[in-house]
Amino acid sequence: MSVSLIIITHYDIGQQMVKMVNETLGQSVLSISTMSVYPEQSMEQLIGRVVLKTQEVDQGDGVIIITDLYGATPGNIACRLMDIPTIKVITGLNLPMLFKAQNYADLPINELAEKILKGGREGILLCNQDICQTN
Amino acid sequence: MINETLPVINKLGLHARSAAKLVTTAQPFKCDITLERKGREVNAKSIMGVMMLAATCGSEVNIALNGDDEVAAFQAIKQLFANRFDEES
Repeated sequence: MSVSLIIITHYDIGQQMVKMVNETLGQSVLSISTMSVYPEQSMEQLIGRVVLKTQEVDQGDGVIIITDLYGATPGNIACRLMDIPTIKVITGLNLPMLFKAQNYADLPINELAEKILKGGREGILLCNQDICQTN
Repeated sequence: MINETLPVINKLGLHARSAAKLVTTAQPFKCDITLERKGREVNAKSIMGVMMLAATCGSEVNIALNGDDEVAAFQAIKQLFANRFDEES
């Protein structure tokens, strides 16, 4: 099973996050591409680029697009493609999502998307002594 | 079934890179491996799980292994902790 990921973010946030995760793990099991969105770019051009990118990276097992912010341009572009059966769209990118994705790289698309969502949620904590226990 | 306690002796504790090394070491083994610290139990083959322990230098984690290759897995993981995750010379 080889699902591909496309990370769409404002500026190069996604590139930096993918770099951090890959350097930490020493390798990337998943195929991860990034796309940076800048204010002056047109929506239609961006959608065209994402469509091409999904066709380019899909290895036959589908593509998960993760974007940084729902309702913003990266999220809006991705949501245009969400009805395509081989594409899943997740918003609210964080590092735990990317680690989780690499950890479960061999899962089929629906299960991998669930793992990514779960990992992202579990990585958000209101830190206090009870849960952080650093001593 | 093996149940042991491992001290975290590397300066940075189980941070991202050391957690990644631990997971990479644990994953090839078939046995179930769980780590527990202060009541939080996680899968040693999940990097996010390991980081959620927030185990700093000087803390201890309990490790439980269950399966055919548990002895070999324990030795490999114990060695990793003892070698400070190869982070300090």
